[in-house]
Amino acid sequence: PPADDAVIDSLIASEPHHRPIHRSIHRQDSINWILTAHAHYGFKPATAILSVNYFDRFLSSASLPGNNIWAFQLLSVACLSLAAKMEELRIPSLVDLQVSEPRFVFESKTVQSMELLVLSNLHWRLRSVTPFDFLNYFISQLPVSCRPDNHDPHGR
Amino acid sequence: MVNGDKEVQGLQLPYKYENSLLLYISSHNCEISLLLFVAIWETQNTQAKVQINLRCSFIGSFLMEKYELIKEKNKRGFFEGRSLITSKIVTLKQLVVHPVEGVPASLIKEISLLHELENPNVIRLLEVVNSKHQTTMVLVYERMEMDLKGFMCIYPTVMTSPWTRKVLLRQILNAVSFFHSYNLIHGKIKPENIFVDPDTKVLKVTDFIWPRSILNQDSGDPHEDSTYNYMAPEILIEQKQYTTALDVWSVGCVFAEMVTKTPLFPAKTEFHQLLKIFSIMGTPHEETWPGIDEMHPHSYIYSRSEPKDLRELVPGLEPAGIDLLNIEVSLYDDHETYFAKVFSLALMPNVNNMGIFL
Repeated sequence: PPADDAVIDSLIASEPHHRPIHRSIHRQDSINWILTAHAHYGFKPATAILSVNYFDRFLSSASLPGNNIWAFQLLSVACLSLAAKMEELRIPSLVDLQVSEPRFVFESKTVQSMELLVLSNLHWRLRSVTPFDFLNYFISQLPVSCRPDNHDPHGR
Repeated sequence: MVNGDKEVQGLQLPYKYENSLLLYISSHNCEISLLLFVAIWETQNTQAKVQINLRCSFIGSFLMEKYELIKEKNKRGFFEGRSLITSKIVTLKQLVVHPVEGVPASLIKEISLLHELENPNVIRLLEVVNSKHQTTMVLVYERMEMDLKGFMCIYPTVMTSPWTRKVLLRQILNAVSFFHSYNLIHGKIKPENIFVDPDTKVLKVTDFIWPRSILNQDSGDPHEDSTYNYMAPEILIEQKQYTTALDVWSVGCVFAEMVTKTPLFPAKTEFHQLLKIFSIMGTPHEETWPGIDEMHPHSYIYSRSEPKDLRELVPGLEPAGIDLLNIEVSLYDDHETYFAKVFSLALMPNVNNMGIFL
């Protein structure tokens, strides 16, 4: 769609609905694992951003049992899986997704339950606003001479 | 998939509401989570108990905390319920997730998109309720009065009014063009998926979320005779060419049915469906449908028919309506112009704010 000022206004308006308010001690480890798996499968940049967005939003509205490491690992897998399903064309199986020998590996049934729990907590709103949604607009505002040669009109 | 019916014997009913549908969960297998429920209907006058076996699996006890079931809405798996918190009437639809690779990607995309779609003629999703075992979910929608099929049966005289038909058709097209503006193909426009408020004539098309994406890849409804009646011929032949023109075809079928009260192309199997379509619209050949020989190499098996006059098949429809119908159910047309023609003809802002071929 053509990016104009109205589009940008609506993006800015809906951004607060997708903002995290919680920080956990295991957050960094979880994100590191997400990025490792993300790199392993060569996913799109948007997939990483969405995964972390879901992760943070989930923790903003719910807490994991006893702050256990396994629970954070399960949440990471579920968030990455959901983000991949939103963005990627080829999605590895839920077991294959758990790369780099994490301490805990979960059955697909368990991951599915976690997926549904995350979906429910996020009220099924997974089309989060990411920086990529703004790129196209900003590029279009640049003088023609500054634009990248073959910039992807979809901004992804 | 649900095996056998269960008798109501020695059941302890967990809930009892006067004069409303009582539900008892007779068995639940959480692995596959196909749940068989037995409902007991207490009629207002006789208090007689009539057992209704809901053949399709429906609604776990998890829902009971928030919603109360009132009745089955239609055979399409829609139920009427009431929120126990707000007392508002809602419409419920159950989905079952196969425990294979988690929640299907198509479902995640569809539901998250659905939250953002707002159109007066598209049913609004209020929330999604998960079962405790996270294998079943129920989509909760705003209230829907009655489906178009029921509306046509109960108010046959109302439907004879061209005004009513125009009002309804315009709203269907509004919903369809809204879906198409999001690059979504509805794929199942038919009277059972369209809801009408008898008083206000406000029409709402249900969303595009079908159990196909969950139970298996089969998009058909095995229990339903009318499955094929609204399908465009190209999808019956090839099953892969999903275009927006499919919905326009279906709208044409619904439009004709609003006038005649019976499906324009009644048939029970895929084969007979094509036969029926060709017997009315004429058997296609390379001149009337370029590329048909390649698309359907065995089309010679259909006896050759000449196109029939829709004016005779849909009596009582005004000439402009016949023109519109002819475009909607034409066998072959350049899809771009086809689409533009239908919408310009039907949605042209016109006298009386009615817009439709006045």
